[in-house]
Amino acid sequence: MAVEPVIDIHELRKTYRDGVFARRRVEALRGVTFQVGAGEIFGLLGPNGAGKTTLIKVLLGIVRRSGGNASLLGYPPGHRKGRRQVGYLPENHRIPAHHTGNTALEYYGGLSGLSLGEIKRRRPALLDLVGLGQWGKTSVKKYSKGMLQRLGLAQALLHDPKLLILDEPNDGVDPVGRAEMRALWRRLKDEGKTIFINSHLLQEIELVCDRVAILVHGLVERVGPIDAITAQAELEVTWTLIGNQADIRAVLQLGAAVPLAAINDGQVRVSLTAADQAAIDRHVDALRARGVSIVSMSPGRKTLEEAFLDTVRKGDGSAQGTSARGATAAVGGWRR
Amino acid sequence: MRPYLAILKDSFREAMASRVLWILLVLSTLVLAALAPVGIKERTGIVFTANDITDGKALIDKIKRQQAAAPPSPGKQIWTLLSDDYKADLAPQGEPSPQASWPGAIYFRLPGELNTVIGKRELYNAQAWSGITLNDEARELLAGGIDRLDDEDVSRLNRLLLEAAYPAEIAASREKAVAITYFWWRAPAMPLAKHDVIAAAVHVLQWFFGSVIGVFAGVLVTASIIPQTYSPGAIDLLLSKPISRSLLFLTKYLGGCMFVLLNGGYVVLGLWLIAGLRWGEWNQRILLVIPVLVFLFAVYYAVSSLAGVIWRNAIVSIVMAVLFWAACFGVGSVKGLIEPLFLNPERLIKLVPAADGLIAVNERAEIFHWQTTNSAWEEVLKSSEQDLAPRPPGLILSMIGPVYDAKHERLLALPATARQFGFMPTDNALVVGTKQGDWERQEGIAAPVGTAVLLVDRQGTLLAVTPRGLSKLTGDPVATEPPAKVFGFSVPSAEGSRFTAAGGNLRLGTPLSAAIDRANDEIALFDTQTLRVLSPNAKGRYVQRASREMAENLSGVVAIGGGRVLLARANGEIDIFDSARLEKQETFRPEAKNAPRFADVSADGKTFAVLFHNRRLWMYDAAGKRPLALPISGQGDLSAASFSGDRLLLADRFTRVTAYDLSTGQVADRRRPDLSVLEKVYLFGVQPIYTVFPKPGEMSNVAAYLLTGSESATVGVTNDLQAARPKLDIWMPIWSNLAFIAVVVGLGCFYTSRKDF
Repeated sequence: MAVEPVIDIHELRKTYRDGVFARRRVEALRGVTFQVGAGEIFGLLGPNGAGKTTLIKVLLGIVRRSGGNASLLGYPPGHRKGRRQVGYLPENHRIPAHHTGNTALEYYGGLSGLSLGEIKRRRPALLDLVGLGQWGKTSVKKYSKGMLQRLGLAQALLHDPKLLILDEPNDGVDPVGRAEMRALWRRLKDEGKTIFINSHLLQEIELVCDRVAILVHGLVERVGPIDAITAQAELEVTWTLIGNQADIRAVLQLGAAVPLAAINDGQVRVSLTAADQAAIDRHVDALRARGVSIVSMSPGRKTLEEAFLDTVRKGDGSAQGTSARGATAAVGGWRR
Repeated sequence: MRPYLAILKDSFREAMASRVLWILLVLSTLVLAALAPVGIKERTGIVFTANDITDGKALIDKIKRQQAAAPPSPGKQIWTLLSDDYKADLAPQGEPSPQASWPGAIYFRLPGELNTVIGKRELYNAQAWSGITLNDEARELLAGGIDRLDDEDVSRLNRLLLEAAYPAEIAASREKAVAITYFWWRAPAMPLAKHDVIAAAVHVLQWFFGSVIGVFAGVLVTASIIPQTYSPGAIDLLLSKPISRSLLFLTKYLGGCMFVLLNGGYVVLGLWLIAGLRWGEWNQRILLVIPVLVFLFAVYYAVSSLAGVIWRNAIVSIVMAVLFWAACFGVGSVKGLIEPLFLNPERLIKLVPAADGLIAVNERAEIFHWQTTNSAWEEVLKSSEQDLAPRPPGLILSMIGPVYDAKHERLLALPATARQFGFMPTDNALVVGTKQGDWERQEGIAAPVGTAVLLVDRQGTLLAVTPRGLSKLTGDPVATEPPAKVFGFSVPSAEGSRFTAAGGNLRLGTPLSAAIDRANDEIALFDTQTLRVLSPNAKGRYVQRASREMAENLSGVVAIGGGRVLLARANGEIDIFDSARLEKQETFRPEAKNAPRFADVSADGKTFAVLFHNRRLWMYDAAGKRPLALPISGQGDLSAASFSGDRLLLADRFTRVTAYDLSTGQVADRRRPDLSVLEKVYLFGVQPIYTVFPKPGEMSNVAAYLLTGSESATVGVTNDLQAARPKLDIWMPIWSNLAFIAVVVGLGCFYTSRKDF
């Protein structure tokens, strides 16, 4: 039986109008499609201005969509029943300065429809959970950026939502705190909650997310599991060889411009991409035939950051060249 | 509901966390503490006013006679204490004659002289008062010895002594006097009711501290609430919660109003406590001012909130609220200046059908005759001074009459006096104009002192109603002899013409209202306490046929006709009596708490009309015994109403007169002079803008209404119903401000529900 996606976005578009007479159009989302399944930790990546926050705001109904479809927990964007089951931590959120940690939770819990009794019952454990157990009675004016992020997370969790949407959640949080946060997210995932993270801290996304989508200029350029994103399309092999450099250049068909990095004991190292395994085998045979010793061969793998940068550069190119291109097809991962 | 309660609670928290609120509360406490030592003490009748002296002439004559006689008497005691000037002015008259009246200035100065006299400890002399019965209060005060009394008690005792000595000339004191103290300082007693003084004081205080300071501070402090709520980072968080955007805005708006509720509530509650604890007046009405303050603030805050959600900047919110205030102030001021200064004095207030024409009188007491040929009002009975002297803007005067004597085709009036200040006429010579004389002004003979109403009977006899009863004119009213100058006042006279007592021999209070039945010459009289019907006997003298005491002492206006008497009183109650026995037939209260100004009845006695101070007309169908609803236009702007045959004449739009056919209710004809430029600007520019504009400035009237319970009287207004009163429109500002709030807050809700944040 197919499982209902928690977030389902199809061809989502958002065009802002700007200028004195709203004549300038800014296309923030240009047809975004992807899904997020229940129990996933999903990362949304993209450079500044890619449309990440707009996408979240459309999902929550804070901003109206211009086209396409989206659903949040089975409800249209902004539907009150959908919002009731979402915990949202906005980027650079502001909690009014007249609050303490406790009263802020009373306020936001009340807004989520919780009774004061319920809020008071849940509050101590929740503040402990985000590491603010001792700070409940302190005015938020005295909170550091990291503490405000923790309090923001606490208000997002207060009403026990099914889906957490976190926009730059670890902004301003110290490394220890970040590790704690990651542990917390994993625990929430184990409890069956879905977590949607929008972050520019790629290492963090790599460490916790099951799947990611990379948004560039309002379009999804890549979406899929981390492994699939970081895996390379062509095989990259780094060779460590001992032998005549002219032979090596000839066999590996290296142009004069390609440097051969010399290491100790007459060893040289070079990285090459090959179309397939047969091509690698041919290189091995030819090198051996010329008497070149093969010290080591290691296949290469990208980091998420490299994959992200590659994707963004590609996206930039295509945005400049074919900006009218339609939706990027969903890749792998979740299907209905 | 819970999320919105959370928002309200948050607003409350925000207000309590605001330093400005606490600063204002501390300042309010200081003000209240400064007010607490103010003492308001009420004393009964210490101060004499013109109304207290029911027969000035008789009183002066009596004092002079007693002074001249040998035995000790109150008159002798008074004489020694009168000012030398006054005594000198009285001296040349010699032995008082029953006929000759004293010059107006003598009467005018009398209350002041008596006030000086009763302030003196030397007034009482046991021998002088030996044969006079004193009441309990006076005996009690005397028992302890005059030396032990304080100044106020001495004044009170002396006043009681004078009342006992001259019961026919001095009214028993009903008027209250109020003395204000502050620590050891004591202000002179004022002839006002304590209730009125407290209402006025509370009104001024709450209005200044609540509205001016409170609303201004409120606008400053709350201006940041909405911009902060809608700032990036804060609004995202709120909108992600399961709440309605419109209700979020609305609740935040209401939350802002809480600030003023706390602050204004504190000040008003403090005033209420001071009024109760210090002044002994527990008036719950004072507390009603709290919602008025919040409502007033809500008008300004609506503008501030809308600006706040659009621009999300507190400074812009404040600027917009201030600009809005300036616009309201501007529109209100233009209307408030043009209307009372230039247009209200032009309003026609009396319409007198005369010799197949129409005579009208405006608020400035100028008399006009309608010119059909050029559709204009032409001023008649104009005095030579009127031509020369500029008419100051805003001047409102009242005249007694004019009445039209159909038999002699002449118009009679007692000219303008500043009646609204409670003065007696200083120059009480009649003015006369005849149709033959083309309504040229002719100086008439002097009317009796204290004349309050002029009436003309079917034979064309002029009757003057004074507090002593009726006088009728025999002979020609036009002065034939050059006026004698006495103390600078002209006393015109005519050979063989004089006013003689025509019956009644009454002691009436003031203000007086009287009307004559056009069918049988019966006269209805009302003097705040007693309603009387007087009938002429065979000798032409009037005798009282019926009388009825009213429970409450209130001024009123009367109309008589068709065997019925209509009495409309200051509390807005209209009673219909049968004229034979004055039995109450019906009671109406069409205008809630508005005071009536004029009452009239049609010649056939079938239709009565009462015009209220709020310029609304109420009519009564005597045959059907029910209120009559004619489709008349201009309700709320009607300034005069009168009957002419089977027609009802109504004045509106300052100088326009419309005649309605009573049988059909249709407009029979209209006398519409060309509008002046100012009238055009007012009617087609200022008035429409003013109507659609909110009126926060007029909420002061609502507060005054809540404090006094009267819609058309302000504190200190004379109880003479026919004098012009500022029209306090209570409901108009409420409705217009409510509509404004609804529109602006609605716009805010719409904007917030459509906006991408």
